[in-house]
Amino acid sequence: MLTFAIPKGRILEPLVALLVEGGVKEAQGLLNLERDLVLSARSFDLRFLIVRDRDVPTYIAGGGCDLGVVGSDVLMEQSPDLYELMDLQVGACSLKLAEPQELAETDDPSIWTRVCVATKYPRITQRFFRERGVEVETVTLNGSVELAPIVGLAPRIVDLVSTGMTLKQHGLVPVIDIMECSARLVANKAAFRMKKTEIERLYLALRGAKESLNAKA
Amino acid sequence: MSGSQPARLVPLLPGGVCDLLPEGAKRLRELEGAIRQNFGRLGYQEVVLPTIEYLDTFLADTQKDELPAGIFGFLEPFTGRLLALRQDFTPQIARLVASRLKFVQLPMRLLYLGPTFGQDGDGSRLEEHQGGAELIGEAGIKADAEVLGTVCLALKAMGFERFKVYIGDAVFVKSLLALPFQDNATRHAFCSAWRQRNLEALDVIVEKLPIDQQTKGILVNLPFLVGSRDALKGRVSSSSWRPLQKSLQGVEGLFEALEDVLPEAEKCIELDLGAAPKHAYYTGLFFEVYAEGFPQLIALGGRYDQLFSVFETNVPAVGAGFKLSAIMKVRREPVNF
Repeated sequence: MLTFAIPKGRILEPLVALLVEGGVKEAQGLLNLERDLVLSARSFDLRFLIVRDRDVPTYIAGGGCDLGVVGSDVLMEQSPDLYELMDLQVGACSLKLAEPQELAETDDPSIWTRVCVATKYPRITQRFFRERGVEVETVTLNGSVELAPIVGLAPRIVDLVSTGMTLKQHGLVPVIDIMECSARLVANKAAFRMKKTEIERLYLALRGAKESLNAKA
Repeated sequence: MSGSQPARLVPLLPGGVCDLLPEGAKRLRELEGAIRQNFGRLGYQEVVLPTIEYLDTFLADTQKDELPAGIFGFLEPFTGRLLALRQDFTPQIARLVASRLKFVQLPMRLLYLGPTFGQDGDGSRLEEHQGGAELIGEAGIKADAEVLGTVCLALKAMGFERFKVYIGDAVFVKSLLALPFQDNATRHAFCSAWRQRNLEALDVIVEKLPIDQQTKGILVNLPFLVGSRDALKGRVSSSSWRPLQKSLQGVEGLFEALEDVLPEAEKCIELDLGAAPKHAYYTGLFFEVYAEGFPQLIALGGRYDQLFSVFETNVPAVGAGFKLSAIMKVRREPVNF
């Protein structure tokens, strides 16, 4: 049996479509779980675990799950010790630096030497700016990052942007693209070897599903 | 604050280290005993090495100007030379043997037990107990089989019933990296896809290589070239790619040589031709051992015939190490529901 970590939230819906297309019909049930955090799928001898996206690498690297799906933003932030088997190409979005409209009108990022940024991604942010010779002070938050400029906690933010609506609502505009993100299929290194046959079978099913969904679109 | 009471000391443990209480200490000594006994039987003698070495000793494994990730370094007082805490025993053993080559007779069979120091990005481990053995001055598959077979016997003595050894080949890895890539960036992309076992990314790179279709067919399946000797032979039987065939022949030889050491080799040894070696110093067969219920590897090893070249001498060698701290972690049985 394979234990498969599924992240709550944004990625869930397109991920379920992919799993169903790949022949894991039971995955449909992931969309209407109420308090349950576990769902079994007999077709591939799978057990799904519903966890927070940031916890997926912990479950995988620690051996709690054999496989899982997680955003490349989380992988980049945590650099966990696991295999990144496939870009599932669902849940695409980008990590951007944004700032208030008024600030952006006169701002010139090319002459920054020091910035203060609120973010859920302190490591990516630190690395990105330091590689460009900019000292960065990160204010680490766990959510609602858009509020930071409003209350003066930090003048700028680094956050995931998919449609841009949330930024707009809070008077923010994107200024710098940091990275493109999408969901990745990841595996525990021991499980990859010990359960190779099962993992390969599921891998091929998901890869086929991705290709056929891409062809339909 | 003169005159006031001295501040009370909080009994705080640094991150990444742990105490071993009597029960844990006993277990560690038992595990060490299994290494001592099984290798000792074949004439391996224990050495105790210093915790601190010159940093240079540990750089044999790296791209020269790059420090091993997470190593603890500091300056030697008065000389200003860089020192480091032991992160890996093998380069230390090489240093030890190289400094005494004139006075010792090869082959040498050595074993060691003790802590290693290094830090993950998240600071999760700092001190880890290890044990291992090195057979120095002996080339050839028989020596490989002696070390690998004895690793398996020691694991059995430690109480492991179901573990799997996965064999890779550094010569095969070398021929992968020597493929005719367009440029260095592509080679880099290939390496990263190969290390991540990202089949799809491999596909894209391999497709553009100026090589025959048959070899391409092998390369795009690299991540999944894991399995028993027979299963893998079946999977790649159609390929005449020389590096692959040579690698399989080498493994064949290993199984033959193992017959004397480990009668049930077939049961616990598989091949993993998609594996990236943990250490850059491996030059021949290398292996990683995994066991059910353990999320990370529990033992590893391989042949390293070039490690001595940094000391301007040539000595073939093969060795293995046990991750005793990982082995001691309490295995939690998953609850079914």
